[in-house]
Parts: sequence; C-alpha cells; structure tokens
Amino acid sequence: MKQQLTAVFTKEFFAYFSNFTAYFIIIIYAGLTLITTFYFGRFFNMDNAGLTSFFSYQPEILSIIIPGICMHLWSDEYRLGTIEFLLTQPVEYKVLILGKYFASCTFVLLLALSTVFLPLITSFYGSLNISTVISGYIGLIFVIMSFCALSNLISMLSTRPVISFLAAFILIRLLMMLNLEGWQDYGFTQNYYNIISGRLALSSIMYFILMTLLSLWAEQAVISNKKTL
Amino acid sequence: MITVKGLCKNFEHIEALKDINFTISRGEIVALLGPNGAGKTTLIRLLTGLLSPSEGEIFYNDEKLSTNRVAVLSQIGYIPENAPIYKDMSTYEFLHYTAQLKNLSADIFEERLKQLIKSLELTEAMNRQIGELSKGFRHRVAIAAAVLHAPDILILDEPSEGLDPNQKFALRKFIQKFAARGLVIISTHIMEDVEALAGRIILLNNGRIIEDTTPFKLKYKMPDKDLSSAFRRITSSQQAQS
Repeated sequence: MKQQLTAVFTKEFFAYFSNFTAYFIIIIYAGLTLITTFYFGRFFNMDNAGLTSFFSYQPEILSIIIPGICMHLWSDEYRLGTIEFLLTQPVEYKVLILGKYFASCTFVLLLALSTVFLPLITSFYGSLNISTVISGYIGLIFVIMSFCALSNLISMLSTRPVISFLAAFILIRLLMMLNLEGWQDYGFTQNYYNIISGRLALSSIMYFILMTLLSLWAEQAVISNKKTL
Repeated sequence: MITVKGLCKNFEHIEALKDINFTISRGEIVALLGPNGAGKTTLIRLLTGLLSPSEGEIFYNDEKLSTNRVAVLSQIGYIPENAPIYKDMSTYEFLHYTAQLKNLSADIFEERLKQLIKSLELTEAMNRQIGELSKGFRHRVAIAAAVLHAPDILILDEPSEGLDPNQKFALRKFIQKFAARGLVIISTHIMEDVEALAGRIILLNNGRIIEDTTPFKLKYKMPDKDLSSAFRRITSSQQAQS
C-alpha cells in the first residue's frame, strides 16, 4: 500500500512540473501574495508583528490557486479515459484518493513555505510576534488541507477541468461567505480568525479537520456510486 | 476460472444485461460477440469491477469480485478499447508506475520488463513519450502494462481496432501464447479475430446470451457456413422478434 501511495503521489506531484502549470501557479501566487500583503494589506502602515496583512488575505488567494491546482487531478482521468486504467489496477480506492490529495496538498504547502521570507524580513526590521506567526501558519495549513480536499472532490465530479475549477472556486467562496447571524461559530471566517489570532480552539481545529475528512469520504462515495450508475 | 451467476445490470429504466450465466476455464479464448448496444462493453466493465452489477455475482477462482476487488484485480490484465494510457509519460515511466500500482518489487519489475521488451519488441519505445508513439506501439505498451504482473486472466475490449494487418497478427500470436497458461476474454465484432483466436463464442443480443457455442458450430448452423452471415442472421432475427 505504501508503494502504491508513493507511486500515485509522485506521479501527480511531478506532473505539475512536467509543463508550465507549476511555474505559472507559483508566479500567480507570488504576485497575488505580494499585492495583497503590501498594497491592500498596507503592510508598512499597520502593526504587523503577527503578519496580519499577510494571513488575512491568504484564504482569498488560495480560493483561486487551489481549485486551479486540483482541477486536473480527476477530471483529466475521466476526460482522457485513463480512469479505466486506474480503477482496474489492484489498488484500494482510498490509496488513489489519498495519493492525489497529498500531491496537491504538498504542492500548495510548498507554495506557503516559500512565504517564510516575510516573517524573516519583518524580524530584521522590527519585533515579530512569533507565536502569532506560528498560529497563522497553522491556520494556513488547515485552510490548505480543507480547500484541497474540497477541490479534489469537485474534480472527481466533472470531466472538464475548467468546470471543476469554477465549481470548486464558487463552492469555496460560498463557504467563506457563510457567516449567518447566530451561526458565526460554524462559519469559515470565524474559525480561521480564531486560529490565526492564536486561539487554537478545538472546535476551530475540528471544523477544518471534519471538512477535510468529509470531502475525502465523499470522494470514496462518488467512486463507489459511479460503479452503480 | 471465471464464473458468472445471474448477472443483471440496469441503467435507470434500461436493462443492459439480463440473467447472464457462464463459466470460463483456464486455456480458453472466449469471444464476446454482439451488435453495437448488445451489452458487451457493459459485461466487460462488470467483469473488471468498473461497474457493479444490479443483481448476480462474478467469481474469479472462487473469489467474489464484489467483496475482494483488489485480490481479484491482481489476477486480471485488462486492455480497454483504444487502450487509454498517459501520453505525457515515457514508456518506461508508465510501465514503472503500473508496476508500482500492481505492487511489484523492483527486481520482479525489471525481470518482467526485460521479457516484455523482447516479446513485444518495445526497445525502440522505452525512452520515448507515449504521446509520440504510433497507435501500434501504444497498443503494445498497453498490453505490456496489462500483463506486467503475469495475470492468469486477460480481458480485451475491441483489441484489434485500428491496427494494421502485421500488428493484428502479432497481437493474435501474443494472445494465443497467453492462453496456453491462462484464459482470455475478447470483446469484438471483428469476425476475422474470432475465427483466428476463439475456441468459444458467447453471443449477446439485447443484453442476453443468445448463443454460447464454438465458432465451428455457429458457422455450420448456416447453409453458407460463414461466421459473419451466421452472426447477422442470428442477431437480426433476434432483433425482429424483440
């Protein structure tokens, strides 16, 4: 099982670098991060000991980047017919699902890791609230985990990568806007801000973990249901 | 050995397959014949676990496909119609990936690869991207991937579609060699393939088995002793009845 998981992970992860996809996404992510952090986030005019300007805009950016990274994962298998090859291999469905999921997560985590220059530079020019920055990165990891799981699920539901991208983007944006009166505790924004501001409440952590697990479980259900169609 | 018991498949209100029963033993080459829409591809997809039956069961050497999918698939080599494979990978990368999915150790993979390169004449294609290969080469790569784990059962959906006569001949030779130690199921409507390969025909029409016989017996049912005309007459008379 470990060998199979590694095989799926490696194939999908390096596929990003086999064409211009990875480089294009890196440029878009870097560009959006710099614009939002320094221009919209007024980085130099705010008290940025906890890098609030940076972390506040990350879900917005990732809601565009992650659907783009995940859109091909399953859609292309259906579109090109290789799904028949994949699903007739002696591999558990969960291995295929996790392999693709980990590949997309790792790619986005590496993107997020490339932003560590921000806290490093900030620490040279002023005092850095290290615990808040660490909480911010923990929040970012949870967002990446859950958005990747959702986008993988959507990719499985469509045979067209563009449709997958749009559907995942809309779903994530709706989730982020869900901030109804009296239901804020269950909303994305509240839970994300809880974590990045250093309040690592169990309910907030569970919110993201449950969203991730539910999406991965739904993927397994989708494959099984397609068999019974 | 494959045993199919009471297999039915419904797609919403359409009965794609109805009460399919047969047993195929080691050494047999069985042709699944039928006009378009007869249910051949649905049956192949059920046999490979790509679809679940609405009723009935499929057994591979007494193992149920529905409950032991992974164990059963490790005994099967399947080549879908048009052999869809990853065109952006090189032949070696694709076969290596396939070997990993099939849980083969590195030693076994290298050993099997050597044999397959020789028997399928793949040397030239090994370091080339699959997308750059000719259809014949791509087909051979798909065959190599299907039999990389030395399965007992080979299932092919329209295997000689789009191949030139030389490639068809090579494919038939390979299938005959494989059948000496395993069993082969071919879904086709090319009578030439059936006559050259199959020792048994399962003829489907409107989702039912209408004949389970040998090519010889089917041929001699008709005055002109021709397999194609036998196929045409049986399936068209069935269609008229239904």
